[in-house]
Amino acid sequence: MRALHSQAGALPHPVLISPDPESTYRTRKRRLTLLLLLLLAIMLLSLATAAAVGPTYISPAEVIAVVAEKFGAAGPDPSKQVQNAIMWELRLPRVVTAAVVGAGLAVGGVVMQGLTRNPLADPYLLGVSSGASLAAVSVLLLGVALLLPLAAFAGALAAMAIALGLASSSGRLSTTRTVLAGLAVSSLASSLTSFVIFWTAQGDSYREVLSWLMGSLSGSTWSSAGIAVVGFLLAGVPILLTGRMLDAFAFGDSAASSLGLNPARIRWAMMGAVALLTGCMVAVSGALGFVGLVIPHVVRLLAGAGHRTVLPLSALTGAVFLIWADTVARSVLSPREIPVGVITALVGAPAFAFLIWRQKKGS
Amino acid sequence: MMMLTQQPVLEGTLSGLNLSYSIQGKRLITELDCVINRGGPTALLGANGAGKSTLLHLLAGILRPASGMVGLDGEDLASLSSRMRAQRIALVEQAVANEQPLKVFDVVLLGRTPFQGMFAGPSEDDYAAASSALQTVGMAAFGERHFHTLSGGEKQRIHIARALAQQPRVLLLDEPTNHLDIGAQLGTMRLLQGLAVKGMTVVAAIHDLNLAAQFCDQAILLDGGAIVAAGPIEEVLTPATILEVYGVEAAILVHPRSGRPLVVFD
Repeated sequence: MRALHSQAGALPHPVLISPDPESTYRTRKRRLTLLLLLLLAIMLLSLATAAAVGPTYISPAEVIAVVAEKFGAAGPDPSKQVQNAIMWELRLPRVVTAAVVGAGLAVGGVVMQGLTRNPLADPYLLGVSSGASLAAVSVLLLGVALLLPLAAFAGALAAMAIALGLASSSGRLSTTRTVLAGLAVSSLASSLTSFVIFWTAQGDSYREVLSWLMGSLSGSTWSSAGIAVVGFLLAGVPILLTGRMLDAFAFGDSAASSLGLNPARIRWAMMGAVALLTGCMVAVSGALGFVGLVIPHVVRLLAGAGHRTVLPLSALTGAVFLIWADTVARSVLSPREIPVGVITALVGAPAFAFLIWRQKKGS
Repeated sequence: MMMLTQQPVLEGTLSGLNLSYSIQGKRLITELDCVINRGGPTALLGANGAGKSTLLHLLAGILRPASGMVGLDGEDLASLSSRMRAQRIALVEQAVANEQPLKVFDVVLLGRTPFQGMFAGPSEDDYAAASSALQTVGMAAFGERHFHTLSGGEKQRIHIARALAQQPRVLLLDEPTNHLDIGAQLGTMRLLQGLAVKGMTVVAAIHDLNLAAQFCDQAILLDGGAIVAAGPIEEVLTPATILEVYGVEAAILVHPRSGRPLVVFD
C-alpha cells in the first residue's frame, strides 16, 4: 500500500514521496470489484443454504437440483416430489423475495440518505410504508376487495404522491420540506391505521395485522418474488447505474449544480425511483424496518461513503442480511413464525452498535 | 494528456450585462453591469446582504438572471448546457458540513463530473486531472485521507482542488477564508493569487478588506445589489466608499512591506 517511489528525472536525488493517489485509487477499485464478486458469491450461497433450512431439511445440493430441474437442466426425480414441492412452492420464492426486498430497501435507504443528507432518512421517508400499511390493514380488516400487495402498492404510491406534492414548491424539492412533508403524511396514515385496527380488529386478525405492520415474508409466493424483482429491475437497477451522481450532493445542491448537474431533476427522478422501488418491496414484505435505515450506514462504516461503492455493496449486504434474518424468523420458534421485522432489529441493532463502538475506538 | 495545454489560451473574461435577480419580490441584484478579466484575483466586497453570493451564483450560471445576461468570452452562459458551463466555470461554495467518510481523492474527482457520461466511471484523464489538482493545492499526500478529518484550511484546499479538476477558465469562490485561522487564510489567498497569476480568472467574495487589499488586484464593491465602485482595489477602497457601504469610518494607509492599501478603522 505505502508504495514509496522516486520521481526519476524530475529531481536530482530519489525523493521519498507519499503514495500516488492515482495508483492507490486503482488498487481501491480492484479491491471493490473483488469485494463485490465475493459478496455476490456469498449471496448465491446464502440463497441455497437458507432454502435448505426448515422443518424438512433439504441439502443445498438438492436445492440446486430442484432449480436445475425446473429450468430443464435435469430430469425429474419422482421419488422427491414432496420435497421438490416444498422447495419450489414455499422456500425458494421466499428466499428470493427476501434477497430482492433486502437489496431494494437498502438501495432505497442509500438514495434517501444521500439526497436529504440526513442520516436518519430511510426509504419510508416519503410516507411510503405508512401509506402501504393503511391500505394493507384496510384490506385485511375491512375486507376491501383488492389483492393485498396491489392495495399496499397503491397506498404507497398515494402517500408518496401526497408527500411529494406537499414538499415541492415551484418545482423544487427542498430537503427540509421533503422530510417534514413525509412526516405529516406518515403521521396521518399511521393514526388512520391505528384507528382502523382499533375499530375493527378482533381475535386472530390482530396477529395477522401486526405481522404485516412489523414486516413479514411468510406469505411469499413466486408472484411476490416477481413483484419484488420487477420493482428492482425497473427502479433499483437504474439507481445502481446512475447513483454515482449522488456523490455530487454531498456538499449541497448548489455544489451539485456547479458541477453541471440539475439537482431538481435528479431529486425528482431519484425520489420517484425510490418510491416505486419501495412501493414494490413494501407490497410483498410489509413495513419492514431497519434494513433500509441501517444497512447503508454499516456499508459506509466499513467501506467509505462514495456511492459507486455504497450502492452495490448495500444491495448485496441487504440481500444477504434479509435472507438470514428471515431464515431465523421462520426457524427459531418453528412451527411458529416471528415477524422478520422483529429479527432484523433484534440482530441488526446490536451489530450496528458494535460497529459504531469499534469506529469510535478506531478514530 | 492534459486538455488545457491543447486548447488555445482563452481570455476567461466574464461579464454581466444589465443583471437583475429577485426572489419573492425582493430585489437582490438590480441592473448590474460588470466585466471581470483574468490577471490578479478580483475581490467581491460588500456588507452582509449586499448581494455578493447572489452575484457569484449568477456569474456561475447556477442562478438564472431575471433579466440581463452573463457572458464568458463572448458566449451567452444561458446558451450553454449545464455540463459545458461546468467545464468552463467552477464555484467553491461556503463550507457545507459533511460527516460522511468520503475519501479526499473522491471529493476531488467530483470535479470531473461534467466530463463524465451518465453511466461511465472516471477515465484516465479524470484521474490525471484530479491528481494534478491535488498537487496544485499542495495536498497530494492527502488523497486517501477522509475528508471530514481534515482541518478547515485543508478542507478549503480540497474544495479548490475539486474546482480545479473541472479545469475551468473561471474560478468563483464564496468567502473562501471564512472560519479559517490566519495562517490558513493567508495560505488560501496565496493559492488563489498563484492560480490567477497562472492565467485563471479568479473572483472571491471576501469580508476581510485587508485580506482583499493584500492579495487582490481588482475589486467590485456591492451595496444593495448594485455596484458602488469597481476597478483597481486601491481605487475601490477609499474612506468614502467604506463609509458608504459599511457605515464605518476608516483611513487607508500604505502597507509598509507590500505597498498595498491597508485599511484601519476608527
